[in-house]
Amino acid sequence: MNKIIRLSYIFMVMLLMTTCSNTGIFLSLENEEEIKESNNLNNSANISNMVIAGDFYIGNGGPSIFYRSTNTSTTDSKIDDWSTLLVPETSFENPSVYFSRTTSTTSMVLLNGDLYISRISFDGSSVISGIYRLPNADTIDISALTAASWEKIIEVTTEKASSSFNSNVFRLFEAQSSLYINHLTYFYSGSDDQTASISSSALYVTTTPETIADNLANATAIDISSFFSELSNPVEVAKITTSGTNYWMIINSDTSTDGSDPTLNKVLRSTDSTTFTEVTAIPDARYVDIYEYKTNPDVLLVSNTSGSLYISINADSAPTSADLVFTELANESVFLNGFEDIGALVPDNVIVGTSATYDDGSIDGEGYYQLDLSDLSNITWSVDNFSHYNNYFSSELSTASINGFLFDSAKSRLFAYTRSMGLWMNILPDNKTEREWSRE
Amino acid sequence: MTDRKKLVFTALLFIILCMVPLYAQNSDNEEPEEMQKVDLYTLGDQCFSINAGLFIPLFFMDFSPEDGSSAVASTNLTLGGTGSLAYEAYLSNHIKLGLEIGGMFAYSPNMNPFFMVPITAKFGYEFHFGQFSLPIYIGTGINIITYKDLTNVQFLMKPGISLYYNYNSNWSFGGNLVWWVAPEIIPSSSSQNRVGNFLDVTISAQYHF
Repeated sequence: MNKIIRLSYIFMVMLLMTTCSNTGIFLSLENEEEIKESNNLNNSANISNMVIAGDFYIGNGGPSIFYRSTNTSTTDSKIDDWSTLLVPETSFENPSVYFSRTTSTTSMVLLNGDLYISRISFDGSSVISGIYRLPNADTIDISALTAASWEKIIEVTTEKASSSFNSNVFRLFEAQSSLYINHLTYFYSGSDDQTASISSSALYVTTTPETIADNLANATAIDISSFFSELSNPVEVAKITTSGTNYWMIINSDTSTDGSDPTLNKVLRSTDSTTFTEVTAIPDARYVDIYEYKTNPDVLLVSNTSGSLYISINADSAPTSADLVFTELANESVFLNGFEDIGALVPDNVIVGTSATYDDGSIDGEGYYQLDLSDLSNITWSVDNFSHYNNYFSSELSTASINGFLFDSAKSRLFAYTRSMGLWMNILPDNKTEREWSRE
Repeated sequence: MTDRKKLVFTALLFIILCMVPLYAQNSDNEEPEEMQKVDLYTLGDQCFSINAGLFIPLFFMDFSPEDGSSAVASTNLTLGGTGSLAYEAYLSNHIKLGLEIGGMFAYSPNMNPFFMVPITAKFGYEFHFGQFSLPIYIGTGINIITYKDLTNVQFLMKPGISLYYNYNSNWSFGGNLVWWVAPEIIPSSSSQNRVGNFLDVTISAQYHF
């Protein structure tokens, strides 16, 4: 009996010494706040993008676009409900068709105060793809829209054939005053084909999108396929961003989801929004997102599918591609997607969302990570993330795939929009001293 | 025999007769005046216990609170459930030593489950009166704490008291009241250190063999 007790104690001590964690569970419980349902948006909504247009928040939920007022009330409890934005009519004979679930907004950007969306609609026999503009979205009353409030920029109709056919998809990217349009065609092998492959891709840029023609003839074409010596697939644009000084782009020629050939992904740079050069100093990888944190010095962050960040720091605010030198900061093996500067909340810190891999069908990510950039010579991941103990850790947000963030600096509200886990808002509630997350 | 000699002889005889009962107590053939006590347990006796009942989260203690903060904070946990199995061996009629493994569950404000699995060695002293036994004991060992995707293994102490009714020579039934003193030490961040205090109230069945 004594021998058993002694052996048990030895086992317990060994276990004790090998399994000490860095995070206090009791502290997490002590600080946990109940996640409030602060609004009426579906908890499983898939929000791909979000903008602030004047006094309204607008979120792209795919088949529907949602909006609510930013609410000028200083009392957070009086938040307006989310409503569905009235979307433009198409050329269908039966306009109500475009409210069906086969309609989707593929992208949405706010440019010079105008809201641009690209939509694809299917009525059973034809596919209509278009780009539409809502003028002065930052000043009008979004809640008083009519379908006629929208202007048609481009609209292309493809008849669905019993044999193979192509349909068009437009993806929009905003970079300061420039609108980039990645025009893709998807090839369907037959009328019953539920999947499609990209058969062609072209990139255009314009600073006057309201005037472009249906065939994009008066937009500036940008050749992105020439960056690949051997092209087996069309080149699509994954991301375009700008700091105002530099324009950055991620392009992929590997349209399969596993990114098995990292040489088929490129990072490009431009200073004039149209002429791009390849950034050759960055290691080969399947790049996911790119973010220029600041320009003096120039701090560039590029994420890959392995959860690593490639970091370039350059004293020159407009470094040439040859000036860039990258170091790697590793992390968990997740996609890092969606950077947001939270310096107004935590000085010199950036948060970046995580996403599940595309090919396993999962919607589970790992929430977000926080990057401490206070010492540029030693950039590190924070041990505890922003709002960690105040219900981030205990909420579903900590296991969500995050598509991106929106920070309303005027109202000090941070939004995190997710893949199928809804929309989250972080605020400092009335009569409280710490910020906390709630579900919209 | 003279009268004086008769008187002395009678007195001596009387004294001798009075001293007889003093010697009668040591005789093996004499009956005892009262029944001897029989020990309930002895070295080598063993028992198994199964316990189940209510888990009551009390409070967390912070021994180094920040300025203005209280040292005592709510656990934010719901009432929960607990259960355990114990094996004990008697070293004497009153002293026993044993091992216990158990578990508990409760829920956080966002209904996330919280678990603890204690594995402890127990040392106890048991009082007996009539058909009842009253052990008081202390368990020490490790506590495996799990919450969401976090797991910590920490030291644990569980002082407790029980009351059993000895139904027969094999079975006893009763209840336990145990205080869990569960420190959580985070070596990399002392500000996160806490001592969890919990109470479990359980009913128990004990089998002796």
